[in-house]
Amino acid sequence: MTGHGTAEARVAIQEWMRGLATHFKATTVALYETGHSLSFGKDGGARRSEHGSWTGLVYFVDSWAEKMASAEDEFDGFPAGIRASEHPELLGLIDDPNAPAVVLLLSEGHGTLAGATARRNGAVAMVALGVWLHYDFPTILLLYFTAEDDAVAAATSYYLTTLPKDVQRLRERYQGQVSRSLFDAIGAMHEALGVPPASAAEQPFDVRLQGSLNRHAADIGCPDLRVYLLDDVGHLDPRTSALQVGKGAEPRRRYVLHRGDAAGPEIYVTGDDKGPIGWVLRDHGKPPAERRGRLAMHNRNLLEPGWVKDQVLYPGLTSIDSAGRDRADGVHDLLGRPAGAGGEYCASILVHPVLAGNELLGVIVANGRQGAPFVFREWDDKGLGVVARLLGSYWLGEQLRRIEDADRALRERAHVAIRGFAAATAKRFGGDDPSVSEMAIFGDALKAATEMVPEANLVSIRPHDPGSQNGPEFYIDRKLLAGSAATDPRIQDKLGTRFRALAGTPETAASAESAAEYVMRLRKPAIVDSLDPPEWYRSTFPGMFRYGIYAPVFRGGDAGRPAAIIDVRSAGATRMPASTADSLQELADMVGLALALADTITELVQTRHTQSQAFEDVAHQIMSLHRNVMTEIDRSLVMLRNNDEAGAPDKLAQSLLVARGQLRRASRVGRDARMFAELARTGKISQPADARPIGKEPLVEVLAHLVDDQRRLVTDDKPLNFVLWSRSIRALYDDDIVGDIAMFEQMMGNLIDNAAKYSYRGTTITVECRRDSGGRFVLELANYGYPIDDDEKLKLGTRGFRGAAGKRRVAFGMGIGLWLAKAIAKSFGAVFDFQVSDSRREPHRVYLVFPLRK
Amino acid sequence: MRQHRILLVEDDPHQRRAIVAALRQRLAGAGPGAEIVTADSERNARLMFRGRTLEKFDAYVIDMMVPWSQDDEDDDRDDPRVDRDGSLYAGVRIIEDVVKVNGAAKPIFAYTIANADGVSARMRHLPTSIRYLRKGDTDKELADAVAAALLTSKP
Repeated sequence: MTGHGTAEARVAIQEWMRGLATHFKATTVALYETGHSLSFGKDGGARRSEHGSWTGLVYFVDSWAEKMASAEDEFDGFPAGIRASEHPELLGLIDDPNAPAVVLLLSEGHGTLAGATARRNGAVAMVALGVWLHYDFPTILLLYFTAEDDAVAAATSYYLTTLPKDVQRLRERYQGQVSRSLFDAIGAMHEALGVPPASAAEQPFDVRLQGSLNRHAADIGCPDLRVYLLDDVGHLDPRTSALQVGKGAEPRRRYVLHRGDAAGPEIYVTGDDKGPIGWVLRDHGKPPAERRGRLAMHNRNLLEPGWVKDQVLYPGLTSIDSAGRDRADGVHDLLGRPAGAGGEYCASILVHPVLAGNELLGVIVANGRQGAPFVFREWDDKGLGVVARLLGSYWLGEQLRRIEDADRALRERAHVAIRGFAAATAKRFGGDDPSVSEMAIFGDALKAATEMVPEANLVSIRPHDPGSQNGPEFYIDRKLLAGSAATDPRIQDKLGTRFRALAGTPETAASAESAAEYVMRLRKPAIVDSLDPPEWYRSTFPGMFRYGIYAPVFRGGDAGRPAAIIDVRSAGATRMPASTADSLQELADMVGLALALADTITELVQTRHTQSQAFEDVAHQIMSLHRNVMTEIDRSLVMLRNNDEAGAPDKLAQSLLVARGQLRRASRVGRDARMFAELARTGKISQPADARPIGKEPLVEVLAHLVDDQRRLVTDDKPLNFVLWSRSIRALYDDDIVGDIAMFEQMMGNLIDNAAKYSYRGTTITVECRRDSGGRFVLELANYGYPIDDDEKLKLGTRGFRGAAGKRRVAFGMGIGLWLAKAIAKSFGAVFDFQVSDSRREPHRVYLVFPLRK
Repeated sequence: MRQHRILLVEDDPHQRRAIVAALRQRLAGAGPGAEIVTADSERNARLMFRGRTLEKFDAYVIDMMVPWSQDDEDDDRDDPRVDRDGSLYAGVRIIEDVVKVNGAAKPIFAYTIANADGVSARMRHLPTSIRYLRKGDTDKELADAVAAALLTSKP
């Protein structure tokens, strides 16, 4: 932590933690304070812990990270032998009688919202989620952003760095594309989750939530903490960029619950037809003076619609601090006080949208007094529930974000599935039929979803290691088997047996590693569910049917390589007060299921979507290359006709070589398309059955051709140098690489093309063949390319990804070259790795390490 | 009679060279000839506007998919479409700038490999007089179309 003010903030947080401990009747509250390098880095991580045993979680992650770093296997395959059961420090957490009631993960950012900070925060968020879901401890993720000496500058959450961008993109891109049914589904889910004890059951959910927040508003240092749940706030017209309010004749519910008093500020985000913000939004196009005047007529505080638009609807979370800062005018307007008045009411305002896709479900508005940033001294389970809802909504939205142009019918089916899920959820929480076990209902929900989206192929169920120290574990390994559902009898069987496990099939040998592998591929947390616990488990832990979460954790330095996987599994009993625990668990379950469902559907849809886009792009590229070839041939013909032109034979030869290079590229693009199809269909690229060693000479020849072609395609616009290093070429063996030479050429061609495409002019691209200290054949390609920032490192080599800097500078490309090269490398049994740079002084490097020759 | 001045935005150097040659050849036989100013990115095209008045161009030939900037040029275009859509809208943006400054009085060619539907969907907000021209195997069609437009357009 840096800066004078941060110490004050820390004191405030400790105060808050004590409050939490009291509230939960807990003796300890753990504080994990993370370092700059990474939230749980070896040296900086867990720098301070007020409860020793819980550092186990941190070190558990670390120990995995270390194994990862030293793992020699390709990273797609999770290193064997790493299991939670080998880590008593983790298992110990579960039975630790002193385990904290609340885990606070605290991470510090800086004034600048750099990519590294966002990534680190993402990692912290994963840990928070994992702890929360699997240990039943409410976990608050609190991130500081310190602007040197101003601790009050901001204290906000993870979303400050990432959500604004995402939300803006999401809203702009997907407005109007997520149907009302999704909104209904999410609404139903939220409603279901908010069911309180019987006496208050009649109250609408939002009233209860608001009441809950109001009860604690004073205690948490925020005179006003309100949740405004919106009913159809409107959307952004992508063509005109204008805000459209409402979507039809359906009467809009009034959700502004707490109007405040004369002293209290209010932010009206929506309302009924007479409500202020609906009115403001409708008048968005009017001149500010007129808006202000009409607002005044309504006796409301002055509030610029532009502020609402910019600060609430688009960027997502906004923190506004006290006088003297950029947004001071907005704050003062908001508070109905003259600008410059300053004072105790002008401290910080936190506005946070609750989103599901492009639907704005609600806005949390918290207005704190001047002083420590956002000092929550106490919050109840409903408050925590808000956090849960934020996460759940955000994830659903994030997953659905990609559906954009998908096939309409499929999209509708996806929504129907989510509706089915929501209906089943509501049924479960509504308690219509208490005799039906919740497992059956969950099963019904999933089954309904699966039937409605048959391609989703949600599950194969695997009992895992029953009776182990860690308790029973049953995994649903949600493998996406798109395309094969209709014909795969095993899937049909599973659907017919209500997701029962198929004992005796090879799949029952599932392991934690396979789940881990799965999330590595997903590159994001996944829920691995337990659906079919034995009777004794049900009776021992009534109501507790948990989900294991596998969360890859990324950290800097190793681009695209998760540093660890958090593997937290359900086991043991809760330590939380029952009501809180139940509430959280239910929320967690719902979030988990929603995530899993949305995830699967999205992957399914995206497969089609990306495929069609990629093919279009491939067609463009081939046409473009073809055109260039024709141009060169035309030039050649002209030269042939004018054979008296000085130097014509040389120019002719040059022109034809360029044409040949272009044709080779075109042919590689065509092969890319074919391989893309294979990879999309089967999930892998296979070597031919009769694959043989590629001899040393053909190998070098292919590389030399590729490099020569690229040399010829280079133009004065963008000069590049190519170097084919073969320092150890004499040491190469004829059987260093076993496989199809055309596939080898495709892989290397893609890599070299990619390097040429995204390199700075005047730089050198180096291809080096060598042998590593272990005797393995290594191909290394280095280029001085456009920068790749920290966030992008994680996505490099995934399908469809193109870096922002590259996308600006290179017109064509769909981000499949590297992805295919990776898959081809895998078919050769090679380890594919890269090391990227965010500076033009350091090269990006791609390594292909081939297996030891036999 | 002054030379025709044409702004050509095309990022592929091979194609640019061929188009320039085709235009020069075609227009050499049709009046005073042509001066062809080229740009290879949205940013470069924009710089053309800044230094010269757009009115001085008699025609615009704009490849619809060009990069927003080249190589180590600054990324200075603040347009949400840059990151969102890659190069999809760079050509559209250039046309928007042209239209903003001098309307659509001079011939503007949206020259692209993409099909007409895709391009027109992105240009709904622009004047309908913008001409779509699909990239073929040679540049003869382009040169003929530009020559015809120049001969019939108002001085």
